[in-house]
Amino acid sequence: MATVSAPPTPASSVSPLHSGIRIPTFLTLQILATLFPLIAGFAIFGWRAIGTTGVVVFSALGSMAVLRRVGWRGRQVRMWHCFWLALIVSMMLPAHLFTTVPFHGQVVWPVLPAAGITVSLLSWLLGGLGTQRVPPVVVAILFLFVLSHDLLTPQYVLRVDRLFVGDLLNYDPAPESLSDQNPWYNRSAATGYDALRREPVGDKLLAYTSSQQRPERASLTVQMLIRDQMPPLENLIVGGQCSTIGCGSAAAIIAGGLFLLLQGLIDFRIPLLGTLSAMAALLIFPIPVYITDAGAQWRWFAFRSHFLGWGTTVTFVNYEILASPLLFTLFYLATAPGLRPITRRGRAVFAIGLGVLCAVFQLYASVAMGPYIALLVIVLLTPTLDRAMTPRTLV
Amino acid sequence: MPAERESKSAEKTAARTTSLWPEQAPELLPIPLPDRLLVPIGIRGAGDASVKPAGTLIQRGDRIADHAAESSHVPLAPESGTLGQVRPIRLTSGQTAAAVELFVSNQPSAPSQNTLKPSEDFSSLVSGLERIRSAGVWADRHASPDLIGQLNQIVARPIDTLICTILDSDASLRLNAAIAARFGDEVVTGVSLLARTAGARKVVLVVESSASPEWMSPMAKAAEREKFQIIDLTNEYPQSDPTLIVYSLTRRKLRPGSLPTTRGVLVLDAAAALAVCRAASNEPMLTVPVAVHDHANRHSHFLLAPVGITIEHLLKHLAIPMQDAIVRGGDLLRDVTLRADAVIAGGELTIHVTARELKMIPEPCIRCAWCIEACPTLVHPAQILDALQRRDLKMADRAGVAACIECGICSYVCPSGLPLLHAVREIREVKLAIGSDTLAPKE
Repeated sequence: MATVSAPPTPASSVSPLHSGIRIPTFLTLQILATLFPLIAGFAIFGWRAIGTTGVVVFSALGSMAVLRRVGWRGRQVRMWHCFWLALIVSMMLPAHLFTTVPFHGQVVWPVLPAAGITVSLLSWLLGGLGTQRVPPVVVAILFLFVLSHDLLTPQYVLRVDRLFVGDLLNYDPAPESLSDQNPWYNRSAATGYDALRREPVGDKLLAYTSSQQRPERASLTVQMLIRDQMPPLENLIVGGQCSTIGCGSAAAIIAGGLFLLLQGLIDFRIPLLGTLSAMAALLIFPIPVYITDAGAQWRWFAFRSHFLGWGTTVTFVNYEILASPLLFTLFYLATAPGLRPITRRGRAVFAIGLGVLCAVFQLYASVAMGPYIALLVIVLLTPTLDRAMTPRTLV
Repeated sequence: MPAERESKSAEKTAARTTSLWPEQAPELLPIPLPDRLLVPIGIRGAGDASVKPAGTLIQRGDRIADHAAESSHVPLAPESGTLGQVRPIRLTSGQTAAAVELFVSNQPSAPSQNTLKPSEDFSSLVSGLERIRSAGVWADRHASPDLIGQLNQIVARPIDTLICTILDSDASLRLNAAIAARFGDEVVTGVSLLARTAGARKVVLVVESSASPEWMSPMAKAAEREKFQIIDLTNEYPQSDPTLIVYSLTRRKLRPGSLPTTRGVLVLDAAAALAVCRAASNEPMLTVPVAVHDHANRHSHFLLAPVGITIEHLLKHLAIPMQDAIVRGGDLLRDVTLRADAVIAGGELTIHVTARELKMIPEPCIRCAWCIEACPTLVHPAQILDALQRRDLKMADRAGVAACIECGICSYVCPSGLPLLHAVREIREVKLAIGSDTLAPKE
């Protein structure tokens, strides 16, 4: 009998007609990708970050366990999906919320179960797995932001010698100068305190670009803003800047995004074109080139102004990109299957639109929430893009 | 160091190639005859063959019908025996056809009375076609569309290109490659005869770029003699589909289901070319090469089966149990399931036997777009399923259902386990039932 041994087939495949990658595997890979920024966040913000994530996840899963029994929507929801949503929401929150001690006179811990319950409730309301058009995590976080804006502003970061184990709320009460040019990871160990208190970079940028900031001297320019009020760029790239748990390190976000790209779960167009279009829009849209007591001098194409030039404007754009959750939004939220258009050309247009809107909202509304609002707006275009950009078939 | 690394990498590549391409091509071994054969007589609705009455004694190679429709081959007896009733059958390609029972006699076969007339040669298309039909040659499978139909169409509509595919969809069932390795000369002769008869100016033999040179060299030498072009293609499933192969080589757009000759191309595979060559040398098509892959034991069997043998007999011969097994004809992912009484003839020549799998419970569509990304013809499979659920044929048209080649890749990659391939088939059935391409069915 003529027989030939076949090459081995994957042992995990149940049916030879299916690749074996089902929804749980799909979600597991997405969860694995979130571990990159999440672990970086646990390192930078310590055990309170772990507690924050834990409370959000458990409250989301607990509420979902109840909601699963309610109505036909209950049959649509999946615990893995809810787990992933809860992880993402927890990454959008600051770690200092995990405390029973009143913060600025308010009890803050209820925000955490509220976030978990809100996201599972929204996921249930919107139909669970396969939810389209409305991102439950973004709606949940914007809802919480509207209710408790001050509580959600991150202000602390651990010292580099207290990674993972430090207490974020054991901070040096004297605010640190933002302009210290020594990167966070090169700081010498200090005694007594685990954490540093810092004003968020995003708030400083927004105060300038919305021309609300008043100059301490005769005038204030972008150059002076970067030189005197911005931390070293390394703090935003590697870590060491106060931010939400998931946005502490741009490098970790990009690493997680690359993992998603390599696994084929996301399309490179969205993060790439989104970032490029945001950078282009930030270069083009009007910003105050200098601010005096009398008012601000606004200029489109700020890099053409003799006050700035290319170098300063590009540095300013880098701060805008890295100080906001833009990369996090582009890699983890905008690439979500339910939100982005299904066609490649549609995704390209979607990414460009998202980048431009992010720039607009960051410059004039909120650096911390700008990308989320932009995403909420741009997803409204997804059905239109899907219809308009359907590719022509081969024959 | 780089040289060392290079040699290691070359060793690895060689090892991989050897594991996929054994040193020698498998031999096609004959199967002992069963007691009963079901010889197809009417393919594609050509049911007007006047079959000899039941009980007629017939010799090996004799005509079973006095005359056959022009669109069909002349059915010949694969073995001596007694004719039985005409009954409906299913072929390995999933098509239904009529077949006549042939109860095989135990007597040694007498020489056939059906000698092919000397006038039926390949000097003209009509006589060549007649020779092919009279020799009982036919092929009607996915990678080698209806050969008689294509040749009939060429009579009215000339072609300029002939493509012979030596590509196999499955690495474990390299039937075309094995035929090319064993009968390379004859394959090239068959192609040459057809090209001359059909007036094709350009003749292309398509081989897999990773194919073993040992396997392909006999055919390559013969092709060189005939000045045929050999094109290496990366054989990623479903590259051997006529729509894709015609597009890849000629940039002509062939609508799935249409004959390639509508685009001026004649497409056939190695098995069909071999049958044509043998027809020219007075050897009718009484046996067909078949490859069976037993997924449970991971073994491939290469056989020479008499036309009209059933799957049941074939598997019994190979000692592959049919209980708790699913038998599929053709490319595995096309999911054409076969019953035990499906008949092997000019339909699909590759058979997959897999364990019965658990039914996949579909999840909601998460819009991952993997089906769209994977589709070789840029169809929107998820939207077709949506259209089926809404009974909206216009929506299905917008999603490109007409361009679907039913390769099954969409269903393969779908993480939600949605029956996307079956949705396309169901939409096409609905369209056939209402006899319209664009109107939505009324509630």
